[in-house]
Amino acid sequence: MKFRSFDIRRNLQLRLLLIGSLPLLLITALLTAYSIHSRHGDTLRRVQEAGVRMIDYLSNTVDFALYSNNRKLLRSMADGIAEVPGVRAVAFLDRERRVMVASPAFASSAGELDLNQPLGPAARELRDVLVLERRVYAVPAEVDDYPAETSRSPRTPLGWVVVAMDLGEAHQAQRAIAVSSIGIGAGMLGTALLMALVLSRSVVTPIRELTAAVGRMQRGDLAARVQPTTRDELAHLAAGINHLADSVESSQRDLEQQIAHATSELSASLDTLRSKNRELEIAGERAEAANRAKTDFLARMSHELRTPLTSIQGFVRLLEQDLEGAADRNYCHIIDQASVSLLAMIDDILEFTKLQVGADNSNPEPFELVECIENCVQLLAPVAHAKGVELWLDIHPEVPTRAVGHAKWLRQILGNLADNAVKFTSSGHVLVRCVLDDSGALVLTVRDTGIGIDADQQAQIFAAFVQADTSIARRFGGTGLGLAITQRRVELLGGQIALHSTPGSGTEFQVTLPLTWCAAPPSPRFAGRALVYDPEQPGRASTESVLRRLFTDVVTVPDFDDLVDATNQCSPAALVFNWSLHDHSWSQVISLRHLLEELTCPVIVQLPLHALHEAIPRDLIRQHPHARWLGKPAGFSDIAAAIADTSVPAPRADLDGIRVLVAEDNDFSRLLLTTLLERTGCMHRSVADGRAAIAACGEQKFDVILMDVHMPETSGIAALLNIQEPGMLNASTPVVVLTADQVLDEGRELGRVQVARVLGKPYDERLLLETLLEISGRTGAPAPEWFGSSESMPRSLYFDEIERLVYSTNAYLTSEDFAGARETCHQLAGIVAVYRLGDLEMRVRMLHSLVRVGDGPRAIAILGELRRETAGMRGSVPCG
Amino acid sequence: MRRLWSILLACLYLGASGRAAADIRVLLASDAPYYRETAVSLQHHLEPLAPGIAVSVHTQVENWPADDILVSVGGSALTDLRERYPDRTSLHLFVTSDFWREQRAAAAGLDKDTTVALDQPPQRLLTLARMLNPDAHALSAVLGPLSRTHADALAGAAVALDFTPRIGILVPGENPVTTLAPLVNGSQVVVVLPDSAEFNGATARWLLQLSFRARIPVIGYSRAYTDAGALAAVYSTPDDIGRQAAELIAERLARGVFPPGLQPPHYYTLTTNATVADALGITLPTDAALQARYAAALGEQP
Repeated sequence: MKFRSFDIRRNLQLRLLLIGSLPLLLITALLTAYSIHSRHGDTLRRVQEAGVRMIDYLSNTVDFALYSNNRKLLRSMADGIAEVPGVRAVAFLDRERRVMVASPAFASSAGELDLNQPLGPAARELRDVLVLERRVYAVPAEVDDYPAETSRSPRTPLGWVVVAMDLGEAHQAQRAIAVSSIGIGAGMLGTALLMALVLSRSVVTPIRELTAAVGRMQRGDLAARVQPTTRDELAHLAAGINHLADSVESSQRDLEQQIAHATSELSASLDTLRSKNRELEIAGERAEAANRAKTDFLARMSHELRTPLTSIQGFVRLLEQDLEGAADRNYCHIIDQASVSLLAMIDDILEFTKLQVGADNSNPEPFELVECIENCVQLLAPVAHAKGVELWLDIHPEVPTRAVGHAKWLRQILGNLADNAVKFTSSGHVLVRCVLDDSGALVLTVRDTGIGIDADQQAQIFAAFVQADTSIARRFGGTGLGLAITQRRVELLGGQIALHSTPGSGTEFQVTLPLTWCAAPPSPRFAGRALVYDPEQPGRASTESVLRRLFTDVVTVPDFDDLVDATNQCSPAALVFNWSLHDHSWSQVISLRHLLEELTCPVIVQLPLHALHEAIPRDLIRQHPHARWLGKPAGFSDIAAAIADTSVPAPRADLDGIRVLVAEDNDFSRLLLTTLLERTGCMHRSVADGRAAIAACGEQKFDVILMDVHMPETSGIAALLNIQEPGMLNASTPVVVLTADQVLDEGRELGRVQVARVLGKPYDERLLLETLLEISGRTGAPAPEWFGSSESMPRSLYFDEIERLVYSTNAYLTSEDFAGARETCHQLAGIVAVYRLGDLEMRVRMLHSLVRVGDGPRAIAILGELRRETAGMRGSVPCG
Repeated sequence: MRRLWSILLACLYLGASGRAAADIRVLLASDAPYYRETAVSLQHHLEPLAPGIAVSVHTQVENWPADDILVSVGGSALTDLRERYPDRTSLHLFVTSDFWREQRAAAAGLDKDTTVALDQPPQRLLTLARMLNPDAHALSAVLGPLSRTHADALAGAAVALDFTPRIGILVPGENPVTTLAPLVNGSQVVVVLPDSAEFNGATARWLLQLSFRARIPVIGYSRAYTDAGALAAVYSTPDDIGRQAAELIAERLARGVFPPGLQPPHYYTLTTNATVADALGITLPTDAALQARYAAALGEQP
């Protein structure tokens, strides 16, 4: 017998065997036990019956002997009875239970009995004897034919008979019975087990075959079949499984055929799909090409439209300068404005188109947030001021100066909102506020006191080509794309825009932008108290926010008398005087003059640009070098620079006596450098090419050489190779290389010469001075005669150069060559700084910022203003 | 002869009176078969003697008309009837002479009634003993508390039949064997008179066993005694009693009165035990011869 497992839960045969054998085992055991017990009882009962018969017989026969006390008879009877098979011993007792006669074996067989106590009617088993006892009565003879009517008196016992029946044979018989019964039971059980095993195998074997066949089917062998070995239900089951397998196999075959068919169809579909995909790809490529073509077309059209527009603008402005008649000049101005508007519309349409196609997907980059916001707002200042609208910018001091994001998009958002605010505000003010909300997001608020927007129109104000009122388009112009672009930009930046407006009272746009902040260089901090004067509260608050970045102690005063008192009480470290747009009286000029004469601290005057020419006397500007005239609203960096410029002593004493050779081929760059060096007390000599530099270095010893790399005839590198030859006079003189070529393989070129520092153009003036202080000593030789003689330049050439750079910048911007525009813009900034042309300086700085961030349209607009300013300043700006 | 006379008397009585005969009320002591047999025998034997007379059998005493003839069967029926109707003369059957004497001692009115004794006169047993053992000379008799009153009569009758009587009287509580053994061993025949049922049963076993050992025949007073081991017995059966009662009633009907006092049974039956006779070596005559010889011995016609 082979069991696969003795786990009853897993072995059917074992279960069947147990099911068949356990009841049998139980029944056999019970029957055997019952048989043994029954046969034992029979054996004992037979002995007992024999004893009963014997004692009944004795009790009925011994009465006379007992009655007559015939011991001899009793002895004779005892001896005779003791010889009866099965009787071990006999005893006769008198009525007092005294032994009258007993057979010899009675004492050994039943001697332990207490004969004084009756045994009772039941037999008592003692070891190997069964003891029975009977009371002996006198047995009356029935001699009366008719029984007496009266009851008889109780019978008096004559004595007792005790018989001990031999159980030895009975016990032996019982043992034999037990052995035989157990043997029979075991035999029956073994036979039954064998039969159960055979039967269980006959049941299990077909089931196993069924299970094996089903298992093979489960493993995928659908050809597996069950061979029926019986004719019972299992055979029917096997037939059913075979039938099921046939069905499954057939179904599988059908399924495979269907799958094959479906696969072929799918393959065909895939081929079709691939073909379609390919077609789609081709179509996509075509669409993309078309899109690119559209974009190129738009860009080209933009360029093509811009170019003639720029020419129109340029020539109109030239024409405007040449015309004498006011009407003609007005016509030119109208044409100029129309072209500017047309250009803006083209830009808006182009921008919206880009947004629609998602073409503008530039990555976020670190940028100067505060500067960006300031530039946007400052650009609108002339327009606002021309309309008599105050434009305030209040950037909370907590707003970081640098952030990571899309500066261009932010500028578009703020520019559009602020432009709209200025456009739709004819009086009052426009306030641009920047704060941080609780989550650290930037919240831009543009609030105006303009015409406002109806509630019904607010819902569609952000739709493209929609303006609040059709009359608005006629009255204010515009494409209606500004707010749509703004909203789209805000969404792209992950922000939100909200509108609150009351018709007739004004409008407030609030933009929340989640920006990533980045570390910025620490702002300069100044000691002392800063005073702010502005009759209007928003102006005071805006300026205070700027000064809080620079000063710890800032005091604002709305009244001039209070200002005078404040200056008298303590000497301020700086004063910011906000020129009122609405005060056209001379009292402001008188008050300002008084302050400038009384104060020695830096005085920053924020004023509308037009007021610089129209309201501020020239002498006031020239006679007070500690005053700085900044366009309103001035930026944080402008104010900081102005305070630093006027409060920090000039580094003249530090660089006093240092001899510097300037080798620069560009006249204006050279002029810028020499002007700067003069201010710092340096003794300088300037040359225009490398050959002159070599010559100069052969003539005298310099402390520092400022060498431009690109110069005609002999480059800076070639000149330095000559100058630094051993034994030459300036072989060891520190050299600061100036270059505008960012991709120059100067690494290899510069490796051939000894260079103390390389400064890229446009260089930072302060960095230049610090470099000079660092690499040069303060000891210097007495200045020769030619030292300190500044180059002089005719004023006409100066303004010609400015206009040339303006036009070059315009050309670069028109062709979207921002690298070239940056170069010319930087040169422009250097030139205007030579003569401290404050208003021009401010516009050039704006221009520089716009060019740096790639905002061409606004930069072009600034260039137009620059041209007009330059034309206006010819002959009025002091040179030298 | 006596029967014919009774019939004749009854017919005369019925004819002379010219009225309907009185009812016979038979009160049984119990529903025992032998009491029923007695009543049936009475009816059977009375019918020819007094045709048409109604005989009703009862087991409970009822209010019977005064002219009804009352018959009791058994001891308790006698006492019940006497208790209900003490002033009416009645016929009492199936009681022993000892019982009659006992009841008469308790109630003197019993003498007016007619009582048929169940037990045989001692002479009848002695006559049977002599007939079956003609050579016997010593006769033993065992008497009990009741039958001891017959000791003198028994002794006289024994002597009359040429026996040497050896009469032993058993006392309750004593070992009877000690009394019986010498009696049996010293005689040639043993006669047993009826006593109380308890005495009879207790004595008979030892007596029969001792006589068997001594090979001495026992003459009993009942058929059961013969069956138990006696050689022969003389006794009256229910039919014998009923027959005698019918004759007495017929006589009563004829004369108007019953013969008062205790009447010996007129009719008897003999029975023998052939096995015992063989064991004792006694040759018994045939039943008819025995009846004839016995009747002759008693001086009566069969």
